[in-house]
Amino acid sequence: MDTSVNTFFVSEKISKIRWLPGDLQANERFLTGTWDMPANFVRLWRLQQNQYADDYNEFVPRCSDKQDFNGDITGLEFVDTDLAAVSCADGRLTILQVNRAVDEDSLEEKAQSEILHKFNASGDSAPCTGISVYERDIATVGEDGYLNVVDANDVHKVRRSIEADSIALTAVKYVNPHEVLTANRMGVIRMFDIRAAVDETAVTAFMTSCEEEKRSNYVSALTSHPTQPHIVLAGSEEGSITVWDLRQPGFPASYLSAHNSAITEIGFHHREPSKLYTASEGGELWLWMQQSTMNITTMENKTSENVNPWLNGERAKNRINVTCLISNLRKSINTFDASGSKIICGSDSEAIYVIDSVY
Amino acid sequence: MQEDQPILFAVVDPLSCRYANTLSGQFVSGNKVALSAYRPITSTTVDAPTEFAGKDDVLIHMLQQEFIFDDPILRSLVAEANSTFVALQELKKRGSKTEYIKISRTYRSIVRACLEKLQEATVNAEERDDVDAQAKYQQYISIFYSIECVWHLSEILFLDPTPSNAVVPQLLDWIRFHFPAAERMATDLLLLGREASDSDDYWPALKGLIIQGQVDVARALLHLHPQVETAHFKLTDQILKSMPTYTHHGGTSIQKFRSQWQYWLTDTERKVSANILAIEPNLEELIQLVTGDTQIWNTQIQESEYWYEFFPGYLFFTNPACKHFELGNAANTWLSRWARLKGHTSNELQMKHLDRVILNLMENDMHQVIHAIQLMADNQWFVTHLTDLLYNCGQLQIVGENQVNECIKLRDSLLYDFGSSLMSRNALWQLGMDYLDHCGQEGQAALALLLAKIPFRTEKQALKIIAIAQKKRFFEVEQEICKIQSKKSLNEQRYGNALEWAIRSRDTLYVTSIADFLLNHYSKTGDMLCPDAIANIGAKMFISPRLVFLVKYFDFYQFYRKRDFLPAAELLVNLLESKITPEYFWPSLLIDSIPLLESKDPKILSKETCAILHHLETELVPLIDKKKKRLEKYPDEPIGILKDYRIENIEEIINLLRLACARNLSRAIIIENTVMG
Repeated sequence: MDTSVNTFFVSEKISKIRWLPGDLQANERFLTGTWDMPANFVRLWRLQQNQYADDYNEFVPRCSDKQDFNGDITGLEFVDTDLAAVSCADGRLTILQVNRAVDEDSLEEKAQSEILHKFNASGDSAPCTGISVYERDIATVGEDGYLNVVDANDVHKVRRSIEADSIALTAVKYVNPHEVLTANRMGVIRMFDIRAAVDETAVTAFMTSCEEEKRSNYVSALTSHPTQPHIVLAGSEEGSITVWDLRQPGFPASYLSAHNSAITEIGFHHREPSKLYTASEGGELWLWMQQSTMNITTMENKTSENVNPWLNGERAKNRINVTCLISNLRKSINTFDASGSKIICGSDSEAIYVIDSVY
Repeated sequence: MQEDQPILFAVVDPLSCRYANTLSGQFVSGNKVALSAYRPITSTTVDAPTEFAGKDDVLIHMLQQEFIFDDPILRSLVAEANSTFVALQELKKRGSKTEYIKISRTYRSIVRACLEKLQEATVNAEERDDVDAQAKYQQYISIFYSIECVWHLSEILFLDPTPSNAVVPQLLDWIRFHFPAAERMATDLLLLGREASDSDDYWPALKGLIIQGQVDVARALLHLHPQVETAHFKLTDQILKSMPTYTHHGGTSIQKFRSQWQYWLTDTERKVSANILAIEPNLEELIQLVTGDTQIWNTQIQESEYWYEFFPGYLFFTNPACKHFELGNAANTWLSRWARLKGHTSNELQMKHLDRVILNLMENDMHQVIHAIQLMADNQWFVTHLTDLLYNCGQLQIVGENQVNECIKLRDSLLYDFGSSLMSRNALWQLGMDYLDHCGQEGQAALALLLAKIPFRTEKQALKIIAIAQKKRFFEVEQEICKIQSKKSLNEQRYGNALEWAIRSRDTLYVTSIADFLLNHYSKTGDMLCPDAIANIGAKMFISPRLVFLVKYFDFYQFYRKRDFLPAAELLVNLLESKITPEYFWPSLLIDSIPLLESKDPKILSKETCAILHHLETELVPLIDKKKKRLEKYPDEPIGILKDYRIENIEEIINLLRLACARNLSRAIIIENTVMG
């Protein structure tokens, strides 16, 4: 596979980056969120063909519009093709509307929630640390240990608020319409049934694996398989991936040591579930590609081969190819999004990277 | 020198002018200075309020160097240059000349891209009628234009020396780049084709090209003239064509070239003096420029704006094989000639900053160059990167053969200053780190200090800083941040969170104190705080014996609540025997044993029952006696000490416990000694 990485310096540390859904083949619009800046923004970008042929960058992103925020952007997900949910370190959730136009797209704030996360003792707002979206439901988690479920149509109404953890939560993921996973700084992942009655939220808890038992190892990223949502993958502080089969959550199905710094984001390609990407604090972006098993000679041990390779335990590595797409950046790649043939990444090096893969 | 005078700042602070007050300043984190009114106090000063007391506000002024990199355009310059800087360090002083030139060009292209963006921003500001922004961007443009100009010249003189050390061809490139007017006119004219000579620009363009030594382009332009076939045009073309050029890879020795040149010069001068060209004065002027005619060049000087504008061209026609070491003399001679003709009495006074830097560069006076470029208002960006580049490719030694060590110090101190100034700007700390990383011991120490001082609002950022501290093995930084976070969580009554941060800090005492807090709270209220966190501590509990106790006690508590009495009893006995029970927890622990001792089917064996009895008599009873004595001694002390034991009547409890033990012991002995049928 031949890849080329285009780099654009944007003068902002990027914490979240997401393609706009909808443009099926040729993705060109995306949103970025910043963190740790004197002023934080969500920006709407559009990739344009570079008019200067002598330049080695094929595309140039141009910022069409921006919205300012009160703190770091901690989560950015699309609810609908033109509606984005943005979580912010000020504890609020904001719904942004993208207005697509031929020449100049624009971004407008549609609704903003009350403070969803706050510390009970002082009443101060607590940073919201992550969001997950299922259809029009948005689950948010925060440093206060609460899991809130909000309806995208009316963000002022909190449908459900669960005191999920006494430790700050780091990630959240919907696995199906009524079950949500939360992960905390100690490495514990819990599953909540958000439709159950208030006093009987069944909790399943499982712990991430760690090379060394005595080391602290927080869950830094969480995702589930797009077509088999019972397969859950968690990236951790030490840089490893732990995989669970939620049908047997008692023990991890696979444990893969990967990066040597915290995994910042883990996610599957939007339309190709055989491709998984991981980004790390140390500035690496890896592609994990499932080897195709459509081979007649392997018909005999069909049963074991039919198991998703992610659940294959020790053997998982034999059935998955790892390719390094970006390495040696030294500054954290905080976020990426893969859709179509292009992958975009945002980094602490204050640059956006666009990788166009040629097959 | 006049530029060395200290710069004065005025601060409005009435209080500091009253009485005998003065101002006192102190450095606070980063390069901020806090100023406040101050009265010198000696041992004889009367310690009484003065008549001015309370009349003026007490002000604290924070002084901070102007920082230009908050502007998004310049910020991207810092970010981009940072990655080039790191690439340069990775060559570890062993890179090839081409690699260093490539890096130098990358830096320059970053500056140029930045200049382009600034230009655009100026135009935008103009459209918006934003006078302030326009002025700001224009100032930036002038700063970075100078930087590019000096950098380019430094690259020519120090990074890209030709094997023979001849500098003139490259100087011509440099001047052409910075004074592109003639070349632009020529391009337009060449596009016009045959009509070019009708243009008013035709002769000025030709002259400009010749002055910049662009003979080939000038000839191309001459060919566009309708009279190109006439004798004088042909002659001019012939002269220009036959002009020997000195190229370092041409293979001609310098002596041979000089004789060729001399021959050509004499021949040309003869032709000019024969008045062959008098028919077309423009052509004659061109040729006179080429032959270095003093009179003609003097006229040109009158029209020039900068002293170095025509200098490379003049060198090209008078001393084309000029070496780097001769350049200083040549430049000074030219400069005094220039100053004299421009009517300046003393060239020093009339020179602008950039002019002087260029002269210093040509004189090869690196001390002076570095000194001068430090004064550019770019927050030391340029001087840091250029010095570092020259140091890395071994060109900074020219400061003086005996001062090789000084260069390292100079370079390191520049990196140190630049790095720490970025680090103390919170949003740029990640970029600043790289500079401190590459300037020796002091850099590492400063990095550790500054890393711990980065203000953060979210745990995510705290974790990022901790990860960096771990990588760099700054254990104290890591511990400090964890402990601060733990304290913050305690204040917020987020006990689970506080416990996790404490465990992360790996400070045994700190973990113990939090475990103590949780146990104390439990023994007072019977309410276990943050059970979900305690349940998942796992192997990390071994950091503190108190935490081990807490976790094990919690396990007991869980079994007990699930009415799983057998494992509960086993755990309890283990805990009693473990010797890690904190003193204050004995009552709780022993009281917990009563229901197990009293349960219908015995759960505790005789040996263990004896142990419980033993602990009761050796730990709890003396403890109570001690407290009682204390209470007698200090009857005013709150009686809460005994109330801690949940039940006021402590004697009764002890009796209950003794009885329970006795009963269980008797049962257990009977069961244990009965032979099972």
